[in-house]
Amino acid sequence: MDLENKVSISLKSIYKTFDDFTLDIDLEIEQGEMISLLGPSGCGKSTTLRIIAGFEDPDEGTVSINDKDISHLPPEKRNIGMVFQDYALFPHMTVYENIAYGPKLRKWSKKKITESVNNMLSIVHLKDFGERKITHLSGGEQQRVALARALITEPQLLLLDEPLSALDAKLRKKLRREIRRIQKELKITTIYVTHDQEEALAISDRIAVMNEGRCIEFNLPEVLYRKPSDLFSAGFLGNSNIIEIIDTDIENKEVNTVIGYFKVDYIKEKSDEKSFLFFRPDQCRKAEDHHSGNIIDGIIVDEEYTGSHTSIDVESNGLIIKALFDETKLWKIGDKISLHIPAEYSRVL
Amino acid sequence: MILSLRKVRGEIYLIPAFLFILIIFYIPLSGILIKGIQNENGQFSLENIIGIISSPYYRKTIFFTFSQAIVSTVFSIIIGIPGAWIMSHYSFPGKKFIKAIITIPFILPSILVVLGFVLFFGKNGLLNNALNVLGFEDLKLLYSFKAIIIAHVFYNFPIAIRIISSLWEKIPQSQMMAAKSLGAGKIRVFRTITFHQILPSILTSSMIIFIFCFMSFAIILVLGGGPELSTVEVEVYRLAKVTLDLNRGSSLALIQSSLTLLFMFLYSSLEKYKSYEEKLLTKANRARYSLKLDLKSFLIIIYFIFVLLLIVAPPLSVVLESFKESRSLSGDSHFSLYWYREIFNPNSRGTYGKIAFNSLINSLFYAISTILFTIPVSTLVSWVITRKKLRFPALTELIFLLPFGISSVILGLSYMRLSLMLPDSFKGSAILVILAHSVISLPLVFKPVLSIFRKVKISLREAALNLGASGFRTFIDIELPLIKSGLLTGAIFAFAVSIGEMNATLMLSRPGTTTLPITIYRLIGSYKFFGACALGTILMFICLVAFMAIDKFDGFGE
Amino acid sequence: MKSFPGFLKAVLILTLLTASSLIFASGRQQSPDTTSKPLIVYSYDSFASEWGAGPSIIAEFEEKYGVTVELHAPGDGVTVLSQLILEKDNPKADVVIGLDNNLLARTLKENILEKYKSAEIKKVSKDLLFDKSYHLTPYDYGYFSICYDKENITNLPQSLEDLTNAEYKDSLVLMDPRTSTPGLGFLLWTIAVYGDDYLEYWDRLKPSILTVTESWSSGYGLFLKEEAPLVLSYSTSPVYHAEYEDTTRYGAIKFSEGNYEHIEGMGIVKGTGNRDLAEKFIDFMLADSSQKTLALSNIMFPSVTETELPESFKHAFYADNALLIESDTIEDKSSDWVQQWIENYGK
Repeated sequence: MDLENKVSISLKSIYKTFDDFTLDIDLEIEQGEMISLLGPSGCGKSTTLRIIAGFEDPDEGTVSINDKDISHLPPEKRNIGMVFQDYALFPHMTVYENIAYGPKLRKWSKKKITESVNNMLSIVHLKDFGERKITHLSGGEQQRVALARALITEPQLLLLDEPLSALDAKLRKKLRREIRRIQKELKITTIYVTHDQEEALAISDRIAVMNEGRCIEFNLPEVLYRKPSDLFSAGFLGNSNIIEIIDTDIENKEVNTVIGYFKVDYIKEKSDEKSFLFFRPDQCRKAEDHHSGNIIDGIIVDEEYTGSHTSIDVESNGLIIKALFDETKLWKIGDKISLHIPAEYSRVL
Repeated sequence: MILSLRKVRGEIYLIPAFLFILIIFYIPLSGILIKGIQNENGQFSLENIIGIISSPYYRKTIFFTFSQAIVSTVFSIIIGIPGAWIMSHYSFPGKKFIKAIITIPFILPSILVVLGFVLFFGKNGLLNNALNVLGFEDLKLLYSFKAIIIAHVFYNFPIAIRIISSLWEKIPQSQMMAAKSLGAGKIRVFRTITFHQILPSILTSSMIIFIFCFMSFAIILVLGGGPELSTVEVEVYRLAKVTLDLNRGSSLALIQSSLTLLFMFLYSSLEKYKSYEEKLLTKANRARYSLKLDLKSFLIIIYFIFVLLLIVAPPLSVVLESFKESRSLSGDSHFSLYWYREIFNPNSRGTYGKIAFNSLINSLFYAISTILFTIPVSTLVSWVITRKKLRFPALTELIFLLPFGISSVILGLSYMRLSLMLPDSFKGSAILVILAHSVISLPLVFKPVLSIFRKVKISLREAALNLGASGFRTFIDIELPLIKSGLLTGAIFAFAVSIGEMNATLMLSRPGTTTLPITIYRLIGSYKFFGACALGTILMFICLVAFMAIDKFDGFGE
Repeated sequence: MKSFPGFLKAVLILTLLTASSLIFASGRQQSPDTTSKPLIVYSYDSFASEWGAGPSIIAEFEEKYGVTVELHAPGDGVTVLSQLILEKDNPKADVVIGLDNNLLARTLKENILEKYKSAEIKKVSKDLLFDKSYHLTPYDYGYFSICYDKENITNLPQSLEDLTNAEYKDSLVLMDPRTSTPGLGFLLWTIAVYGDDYLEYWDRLKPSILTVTESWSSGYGLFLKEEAPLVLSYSTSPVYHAEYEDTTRYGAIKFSEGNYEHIEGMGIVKGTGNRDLAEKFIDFMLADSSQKTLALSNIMFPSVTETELPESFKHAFYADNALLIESDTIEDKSSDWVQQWIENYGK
């Protein structure tokens, strides 16, 4: 982001009790960035979005946009664009009328409305769709109309609530790029709720991983992927190997596990909970002679060739380690193998 | 400060509606029902209630009331579903007319229903006469249990058609098509998908029909053939209006009302539970098919002939009677426009014409006013129930539904009490009659409106708010167009109930104000049967026109 | 949501709608004549209907005395009684019309009438004075009788017992004593004739009954539609057809055991603020013109014996043996009798 890192959206001490969990959020989002709220179902990400939009009230805490506290404003006064999970397009109106609804409410001149709507339709690649009825649109088209409708009034913030979950995989990939492209073009601060970690990784400037109402980690995608600071976010994003630890040597940054000793890059301080060794399958290397530590010896018990990768399951001392290589078939089941995990990608969480 | 307003409970919005129903209905009603738990001296006593529950006679009566209502309801729904399917999937010439005509039985005073039935199905009825001419024997349908069921079905299955088809029209096709593409046969599709989607409307209409049949009175006695088959309503009538044992009558009414309340509560919970999650995406699927020459169309025609027989024939018989006059020595009646001339000739010698005309105007006035009152109230209440947090949503719903489950005898006594409670200046005011009509029709208006409200996704409303629309604008721009069909169904019921209403009008209106049903009853009570049929015909005609006019709004703004 | 102002708008619209409805409604009110205190008369429904006896009698009365009369008809006779009872502590009416002999005991028990012995009462036959305490004054009467349709029956039953003959299977339409006055009248009739054996009589009668209707109206309607050739009605019913339809097709049968009597009465409501006018009204009802009107509109016999009756009344009969059960007995026993009857019927 080349812009001044002005804090755009601020969620301070948002606190709300529900039946099964308590929402407890503190988040600061910068101007123009696109962040994802990522987490399993029921973790509170949609609720957070709804609180920002004004459809729910927190028990405590404030929501501010550009330092202005909007917590007391009703949703219709917040000037936030939102794309709902089911798109919520007005079925009795045409595409044009749906998109024009916001501007109409703001009493724009007819000329301005027509111009803006057509402009918006171009941006979402739906030119000439104006007179179409909502019921005659495909899922992807509806989604884009919803996007256009949310953006036309130039809101200060865009919220997307799992906008692609109803679509098939190929369309999802295509559309998430579209959304990202538009977002960058308009430079609009965006919060994107999803449970699909691949999606979050692909389009976010930063990701807030959530679980049971709390934000576990909030960081850049690559940091969360390579160097997560929490076991939950580590496990949620991408594939991972999580190994129980027997002993920890904090000073030397070394741990002992059932599959051997490991030098690690980071050991998380934990009060009384168990710690685990964590590394990603794609960080496994074939052990070479010059590798002196962090070796796992085992037997291949399963392998899967997907064309671009080969993933293998290695059994070592009763545990299954997953490894991912981008080479073509080199092994078969039953082969002995030694894996090496670089210390910088080994973490204790 | 604004924050606290926002946390205002939904109940606040309902205060005007609560007040209205409290004053017009609940307070006078409790004045009557309280006698059920009192003895003659006005002291608290459960002796009557216990007496009723422990009496085998009453138990038998309650059981019969229940069983005939169940059987009637089941048949009404079974016969109604194909009709609903036809109405929601096909378009054909005269569809609006048929839709209006099948609602006619609903507005007829029950005595005309009974007479119409006898005129057509009776020993000397049109049907048997026709059969005899063709050499067949009499069809002995009347004066039996099956006559009751047939009459109930005739009276009620159009309700099922209306309510179910109004929802069916709106079911998105996507799921059905998906299922079909996966190879599911038509029956399977219906059973697994469609049925669940129309289930809420089936439950709503079942509840309405069940309660109507539960409270049935004239049909049971006359067409049932004898007092062996009698219902709780008859006994309430007997106690409260003939024996004048108000304590025992109210006890029975209390038991009756508790039962209907229980049923309504069960239905409501079931309906909410089954209210299919899939919300409306589409507007009404304007009927996709038109009649062709194939087996399906043939079956449809058979269905319609059957419908015609059951629904149209009895009122039609009444219509035919209206063109008769009995002025010969032999006592035979012959074709004559006498009664119509009387009505439409402003200079007619008889007062009959003037009265008929006045009744017509009054009836129309009350009916339209009832629509104007109940539609906004129902909309408001439905809006609050579905959009706001209520502490007891089911109870709130029941509060407005209850008048439906109260015996009309007891209602009549409540109005008597109401007229006593109010200051003299209020007596006889038209507004009082309108309010009373509104209370009785409210359950029937409110239910369809509520059902359709539930079907409108909350996210649509939220989207509108999010785009900057105020709550009011959201309602006008977004929700109102989508609930229109529910409002129309409600308006039809409001009109129908009001125009057929007698009890409240008799009790509360200014002396000399008559309405069509009152005049019809008075005509019959004074030997003028043909005249009653003529007025009944006019009543039917008015309703037909009104229903078609209201239905016209359905396609409005598309 | 935070849309309170929007909600206010909705309330405003609703109020406007109600207000306009009100304005229209009040426009339809008739402006009352406030020259003198109106006389409030409660009556049963058919009396008040425009072709009933009420309007013309009242019009004459109003003209004669220069007063206003307000007629309120909440339903049938029993409904009127219920209203009077409900209003007991704060009576609104001055005169009540339509309480028959079956209701006498109840009326007296509830103490809702004032005694009044009209001077005109000497014109009324002594047999008709069912209320010796003069709270209720008879104004017309009739006999329940089985009416027949000449076109559909030749061999007429001459007694209650005859009705049970096999030839009359499914030929008779009756009314339910639980819900209709004639129905109750017929039941009392059978009790008056058969005493404690009345239930056995009904067992014998049952095959002849086509149906038991809830009101006279539907029953008589069935009869006119030729569903059955015999119907329970009044001895004066044929008069209507003769007078207004020029036909003598329908007749009424005088039974050998007698016919049960039905006497209708009127009285002054206790607590009336218009006693003087009320008395005049009672007197007026017994005047010749009123009695004639009553006869022709109600199709009943006028209580004033010397009233001249039109030709058509020759088709009605006066019972040789007018049966009537004591009012007190009716009050005590009728609900038991009805209950026994229904439980017996349903066996």
